[in-house]
Amino acid sequence: MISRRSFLGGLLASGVLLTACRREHAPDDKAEAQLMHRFALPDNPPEFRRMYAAGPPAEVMLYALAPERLVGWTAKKSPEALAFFEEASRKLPLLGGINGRGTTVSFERLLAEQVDLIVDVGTADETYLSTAARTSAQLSLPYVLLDGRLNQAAEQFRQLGSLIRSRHTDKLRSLAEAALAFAQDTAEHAKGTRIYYARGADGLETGRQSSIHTEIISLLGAENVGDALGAGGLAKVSLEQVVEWQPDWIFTQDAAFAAHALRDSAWQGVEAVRRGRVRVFPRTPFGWLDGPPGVNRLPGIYYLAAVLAGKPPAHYAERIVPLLEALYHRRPDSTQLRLLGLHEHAAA
Amino acid sequence: MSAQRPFALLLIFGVCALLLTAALSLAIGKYTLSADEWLAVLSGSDAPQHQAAAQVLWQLRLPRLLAGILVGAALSAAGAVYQLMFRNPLVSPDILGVSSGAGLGAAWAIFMGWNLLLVSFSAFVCGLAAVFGVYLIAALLRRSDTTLALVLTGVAISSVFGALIALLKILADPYTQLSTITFWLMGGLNTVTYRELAYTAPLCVLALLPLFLLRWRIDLLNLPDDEAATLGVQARRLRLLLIAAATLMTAAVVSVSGIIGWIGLLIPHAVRLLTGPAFARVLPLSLLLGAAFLVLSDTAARTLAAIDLPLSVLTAFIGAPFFICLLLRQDRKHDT
Repeated sequence: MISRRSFLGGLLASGVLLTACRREHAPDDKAEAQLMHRFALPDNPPEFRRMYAAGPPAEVMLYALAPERLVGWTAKKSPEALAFFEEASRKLPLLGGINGRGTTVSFERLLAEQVDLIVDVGTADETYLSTAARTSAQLSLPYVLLDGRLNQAAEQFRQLGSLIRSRHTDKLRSLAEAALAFAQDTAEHAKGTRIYYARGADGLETGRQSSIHTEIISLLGAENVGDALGAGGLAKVSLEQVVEWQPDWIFTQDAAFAAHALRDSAWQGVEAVRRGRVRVFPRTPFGWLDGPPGVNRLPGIYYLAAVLAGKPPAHYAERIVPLLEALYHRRPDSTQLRLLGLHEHAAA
Repeated sequence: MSAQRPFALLLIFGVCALLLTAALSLAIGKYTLSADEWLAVLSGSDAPQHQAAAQVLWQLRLPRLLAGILVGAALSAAGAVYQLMFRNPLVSPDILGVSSGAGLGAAWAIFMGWNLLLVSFSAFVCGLAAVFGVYLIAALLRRSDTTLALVLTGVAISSVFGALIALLKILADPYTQLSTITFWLMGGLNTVTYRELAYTAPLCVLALLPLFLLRWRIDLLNLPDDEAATLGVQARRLRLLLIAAATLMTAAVVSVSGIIGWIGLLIPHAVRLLTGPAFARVLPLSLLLGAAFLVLSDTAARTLAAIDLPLSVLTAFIGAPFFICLLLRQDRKHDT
């Protein structure tokens, strides 16, 4: 029989063995604060023909750059959302996403689809870097991971676009640059405007300081009241907290919540609600404020600036529509423009 | 009576079940290997046109199959030990908090944005720590009924950990971390690599060793402690050793697979119906059938839908109806 001591000794030793595990990933390049992390990418990459986006932000970016080379969607899209894309891509298969341990895509399927490049855009933390390294090794496929901050959108388009030799690169880059420059120019006006970003069906989830979900608010110079909660991602707050904050505006992407807040007596304690300053942002085909936190938020910059300047969003239709067209490769039709509040009459 | 079925025959059945499910698991998937590809891959050809097929077989299906065998066998064996030790057929390996501990460790690591290997390591350490904590608290209670003290403490600690996991889920980023945490808590083998197997397998073997060596003695835990003592078995010591072994095994596999429900409860229970209660018979058959069941569930998880499904979904879907059938059959037997 094994003695207890030797057994426990063995247990301890195996623990030590495990502790010895080092950083699992080693990106090919080592530049500081880099935007693009590359894994198993050859020096002179061939032209990639079948690319897979590992998550929603990557999907938006890859679709914008090369819709005909995207092999599938990561998540199911509503018919309304699909209607924003060009005809051919509406039939793309649902493949699932790569998300650390929460990976839902079938790796075999990626090989069966003859994918030649995996692209991810988002947080480049250890979880995602190690996921990229591991997936790239498991599939023997090149993998790039881009840091997905909104203020880097133009640079993201430039770097990924040149890597995959997209013919849309210059256009997308200059539209992104224009939107970001516009945000900087208008930032002065928005200073001091306090915004509460209401997420979820009850509107009681919000982004904290430096959260990727609220970066569009700070990008435009406005103040996200959730910053008071300190740095972090999302937080659940109480209505009492929102009443105490007394934001100037409440922004949401959830129309049901906005309707509820405007009716509900408890929400009347927030002055912005009493004054009807609750604004629903569009979320087709992707969220305009957030969700996913990708380049889909670029049109949201103009939308938000219009709201803050007290103008209808259609005021910036001339800037928004070309951006939508560049991102989704189809000009929204009149019904869609009306749904987005961008039709001509609204501008008047 | 079912317990009189020749054990050798049952073992052969177990081995066949495992071989069959393993073959099935290697044969099917989203990537269809042609006859040519099979020949080329099995003959070790490294021609570029067969590279994808080789990748599928050796880098995706085989590690997943091995992980399935390991995880299924370990969870079933741990379940068998606990069901015997706690004299309760409804006990599963997470009764002492190993799963909720591991869940908290993993959720925390994911929340902190650590790398995947550290997520596994954190799950492993927290799983062990949870059970260690439960054991210490139960030992402090000085109740005459040690097993009851253990179970009650386990339930209490598990619920605290469950609450902490819920808190982390609320705080996690819904686009990235939340789905990762949720998926982890539902288990899956889709990201398992050889490297993780190399850490996990030795720990499982290490934990199985005392179970095998002591398989005849373990049955005596069914007796009250003083009676066992007259037969030369120090029940307290034996129990501690078993808890350590079962916990080590569970924590090791859960750290790479995430939490997989049902299997640790279902398999030993089903096996006992086939072999009778003797642990020396329950253990080997649990290992074999547990492995086969998990391999089958995992094959279903990766082939049934367009995306890879979490494993607990499959084990519950397959396991729960099967379990109810068993209960009904047992009931009928009691009636007659």
